Amino acid sequence: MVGKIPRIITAAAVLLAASHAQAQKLNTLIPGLYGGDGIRLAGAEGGPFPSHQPHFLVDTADTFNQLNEIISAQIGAIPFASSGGGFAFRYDEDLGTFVQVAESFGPIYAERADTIGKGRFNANLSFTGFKYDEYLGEDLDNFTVVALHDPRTLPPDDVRTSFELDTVNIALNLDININAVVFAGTYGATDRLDIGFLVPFADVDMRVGARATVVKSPENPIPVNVHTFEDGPESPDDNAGGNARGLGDVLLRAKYHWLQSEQHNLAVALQLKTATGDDEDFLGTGDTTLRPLLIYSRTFGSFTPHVNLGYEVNFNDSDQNSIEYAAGFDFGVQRFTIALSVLGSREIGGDGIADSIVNGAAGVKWNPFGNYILTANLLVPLNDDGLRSDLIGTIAFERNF
Amino acid sequence: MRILKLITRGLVTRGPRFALLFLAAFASQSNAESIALIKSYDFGPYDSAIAGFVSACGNGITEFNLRGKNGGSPETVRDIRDQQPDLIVAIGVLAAEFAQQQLSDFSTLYVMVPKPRSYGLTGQNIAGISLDIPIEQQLTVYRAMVQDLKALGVIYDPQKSGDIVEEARRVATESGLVVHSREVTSRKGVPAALRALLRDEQIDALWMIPDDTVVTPESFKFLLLTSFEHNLPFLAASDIFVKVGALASLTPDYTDVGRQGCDLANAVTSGRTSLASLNVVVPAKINLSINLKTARKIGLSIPDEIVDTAEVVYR
Repeated sequence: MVGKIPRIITAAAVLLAASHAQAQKLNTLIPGLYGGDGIRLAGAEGGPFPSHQPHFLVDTADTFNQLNEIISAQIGAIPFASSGGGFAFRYDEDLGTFVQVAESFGPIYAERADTIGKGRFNANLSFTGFKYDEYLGEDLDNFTVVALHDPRTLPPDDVRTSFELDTVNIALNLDININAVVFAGTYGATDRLDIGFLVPFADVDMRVGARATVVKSPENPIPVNVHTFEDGPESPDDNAGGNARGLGDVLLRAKYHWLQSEQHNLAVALQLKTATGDDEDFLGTGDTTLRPLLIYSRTFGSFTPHVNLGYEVNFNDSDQNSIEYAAGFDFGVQRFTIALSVLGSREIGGDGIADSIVNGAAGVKWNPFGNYILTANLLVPLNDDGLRSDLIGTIAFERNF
Repeated sequence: MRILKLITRGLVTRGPRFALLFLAAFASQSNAESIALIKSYDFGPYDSAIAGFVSACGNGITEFNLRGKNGGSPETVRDIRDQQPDLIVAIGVLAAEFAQQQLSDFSTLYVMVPKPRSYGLTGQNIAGISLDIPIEQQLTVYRAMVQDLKALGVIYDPQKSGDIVEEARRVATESGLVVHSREVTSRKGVPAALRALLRDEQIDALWMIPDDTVVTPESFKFLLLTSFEHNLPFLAASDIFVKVGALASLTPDYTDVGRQGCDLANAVTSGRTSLASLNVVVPAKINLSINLKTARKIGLSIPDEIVDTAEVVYR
């Protein structure tokens, strides 16, 4: 184990060294479309309407900004549960002693109350890859944003009238691919206390294509088309792209196995997410959060249901404070463990976008030999809120020392 | 060191019967014309015993599998009778009871049976090897490991393991040890019983006996953690517990039990001994498992010569 650490650090350093090659930050790609100052069409003159330089603004930059903010949020959804080997046995009357039965290696995304034991160390290397597919239920291959006419062309300045009611629909084709390599470690400081860390390295590739179309409002009384791209300063089409690679938001965690009785197991955990990832390149969220978590699990032989309930405090934006929850079970069969969980997050002071995220996780762990465990997991969205991927796949390699 | 090895091999404690084993040990394969070997069902430990038996005896063995069916099947009974074996070797409780009930006119040697008398496996025509490790042997080994061992603590259900504790008290008294105990009737009583034992008695080690009222997946963690908190050696009933933190255990070597079965089979079929005189034989080879990490954790120094005798050492 000790000898392998330098090689892991070297690989991480190479990955870090390759980051930030492009000058433009990824979070400027979308707002930077069409010059970043809205869409200007061909001058409108010589018609039954006042001459003016049509100027359409995206109403929002808000929509773009919110999209930007949550792109990096999913990178934080990396499995951090260590596979403590569960220990299950039964009394065999025919042998007159106890025999071991199939053990469960624990859940993948959620937590169970057990700790790994004093002096033990669990190392986990995982690979996660996914592509964002939908935003607020809309396909990212054809995501429409509406740009509105500057209202100051015709009086009054704060109300749109006549041809000011025309809009420019911008059909965006967003291609956002994320790959992450994550190294996590958990150490049993005492038999009841685990401390751990998670270090992600992410690669974010973003391509944006846009096609703008003028839409004449039915309430526009002007009989001719006032607005057109033809001979105008801008093309209806625009595109941008970029790639960023580097360190994501590092997580630190402690878990204490507080209550252990015949029937019930209760643990408390504290997870600190730092803002080490560059949020401008979507490598991190830019926020520091603290998440206390209550973990309940109970083992019935090889079957262990679990419930997690937590509250995440966002030190940079209290509106993003959220309730975090998970429920599921893991079941051990010979050298395999099947883990199923429902994971959710609910913002307290939500703004109506990505307030409630619910995912389903299904995975399997396999102990081929010794203390090695291989994990494969799929995460699927169970609701439409926020920016979502249809499928997030993760494979991981673990070893217990 | 040599004495300890002999003890763990059970040779000193059962002299006459083991003298027969010395004689039988010179036989490299079965002298019987035929042996009907009946397995209770597919089970790892049974397969280990059969492997040991077959490797030692080799020829003339016909295997039958009851596949867990109580009483076997009429076909199996017929097939065995048709074979007219010189000896039936029954692997496990189910097979032994089957042979006793359905084939009582044949000589039966059972192997891999715990507490055979509790199953009524006695008679002129039946005898065999139990899985029970003599208490005297256990205490001798544990005293060699934990050199200041004077008092053992044990929690038990009188209905299930009262006989073991009673035997332990008798043996302990003879060897200057004390056994402090607390009774429980359900697993819910285990934590309180352990706390009372630790509060009211001075014990030098916690002894786990095969009692499934006391030892459950939930209670084991509690027992183990408590033993760590009090730096108490935790002497377990199986190697599976040593692997996850108990200090030590003694378990029969199932493969060697099979080989021992072959030796006895040879002695019986050749007329050197009889089933009536054998009665219940204890396992010849007992495996000691030690967890040195646990020993360090509780501040216990186990003599190197003891560690050298261990079959399994977890570091």
